[in-house]
Amino acid sequence: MNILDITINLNVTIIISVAIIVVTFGTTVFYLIRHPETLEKWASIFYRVTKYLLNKGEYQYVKYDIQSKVNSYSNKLSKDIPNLSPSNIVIHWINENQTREQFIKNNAFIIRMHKSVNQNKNLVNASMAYISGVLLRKAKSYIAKYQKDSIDLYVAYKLFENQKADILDQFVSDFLRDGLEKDKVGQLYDNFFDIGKAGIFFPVFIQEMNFLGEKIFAKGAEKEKIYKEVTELVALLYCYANRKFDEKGANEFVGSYCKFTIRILGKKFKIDNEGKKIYINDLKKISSEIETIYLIGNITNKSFIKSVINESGLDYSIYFTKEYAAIIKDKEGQDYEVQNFLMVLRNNKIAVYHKK
Amino acid sequence: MTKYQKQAVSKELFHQIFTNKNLFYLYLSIINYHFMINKENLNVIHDDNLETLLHNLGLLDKIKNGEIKCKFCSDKITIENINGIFPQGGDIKISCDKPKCVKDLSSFLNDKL
Repeated sequence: MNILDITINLNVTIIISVAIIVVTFGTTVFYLIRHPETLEKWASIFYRVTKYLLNKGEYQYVKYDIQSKVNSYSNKLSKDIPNLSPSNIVIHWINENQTREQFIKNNAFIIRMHKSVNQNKNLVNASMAYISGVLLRKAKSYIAKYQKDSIDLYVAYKLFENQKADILDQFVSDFLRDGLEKDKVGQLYDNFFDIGKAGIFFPVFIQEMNFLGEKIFAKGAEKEKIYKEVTELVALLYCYANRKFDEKGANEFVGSYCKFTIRILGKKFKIDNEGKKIYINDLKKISSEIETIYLIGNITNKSFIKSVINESGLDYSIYFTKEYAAIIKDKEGQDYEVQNFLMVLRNNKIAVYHKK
Repeated sequence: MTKYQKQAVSKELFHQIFTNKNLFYLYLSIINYHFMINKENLNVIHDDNLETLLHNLGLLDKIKNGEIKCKFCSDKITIENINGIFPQGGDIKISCDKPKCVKDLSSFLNDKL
């Protein structure tokens, strides 16, 4: 091997190494831009360890611990309901050296953060402020207070159920126990639990609430009508979630604001005996005033559901699809877990309203 | 930011990436995109600085003398039970840390946004 060969080999090695470093670095940066909560989680771990050593470590730990947990949940919600897009939270330490006049002029609302030995309390308070103030902001302006409270408590429970037990305990003792003492709130919360077990709380209920919020914004609010409609919506989803296998029940909701239907596709004996035709005919009978169709089937029937929709010629577009675990009831009413596939279709003639 | 707005921002970002060779400009585009994603600021004060802030706002002595009531439940405010501080009608209000008042503060804040 001569010197020229060695130089070429060295150059090639350097180029490949640089390429690997650039690609790895680029991929990491791209991932962190897409998932800033991961960076926040690392930051919270770093500051948790170094908070006694670094000057602002205590502040940074409180900040990033809350941001990482709340923003991870917010991202999960965005994946469950693509049109929800909840904002991310940013903890902003205000300047304590401001005068009364400056404070009033700045019009800033301030929440107290305890020392990090009480971090669970900080996390629960900040999360409740976030859930109450940000999630479904438009829809929650018009629904009844007990409906709003039940949604907040259920959504907060879902946020804390996968955190450490002492965080969940803090939430239960500070908010949940008191909240559920009110009959109406407690009953609705229980209903949400059953709807959630069947895997349709977030994709159907929250989605419909989001659509409702958009419509109220455009049409103006008739509060009593809205309270009633939300109650009926929950009642239908509750019955649907609790029905036994093969039990017939209402699967269509046509209110002033929410108009949707839920259809199950792919029952084995129907597929074997009648194929796609029976489902295509059924879908074609759906009234044109229905704005959203929720198609549910076992995950093994995913391709079947897709081909039924492709061949049905419906004037609806696929809004989103999702695979999820659900607990449903057998013929005797016993719970069992299934892996389901959900396809949400939106009527092409629906106008979408967005707050500018 | 809605799904549609995000799509528009993404489109603009990719347009910038493919029409500009300048890496610095590309970096700025990515940072810009990152900050365009919807965010909600939650203004907070740490325990360590709470008394300084209250002193500067002229509220510390009043709280120590038991003169300030919670905006939502009218209970007496102490240094220990403060949860929220906010301006209203040219005055400064304080709310306590009872769960109901924590939630009422969020709703109140939401109405003001």
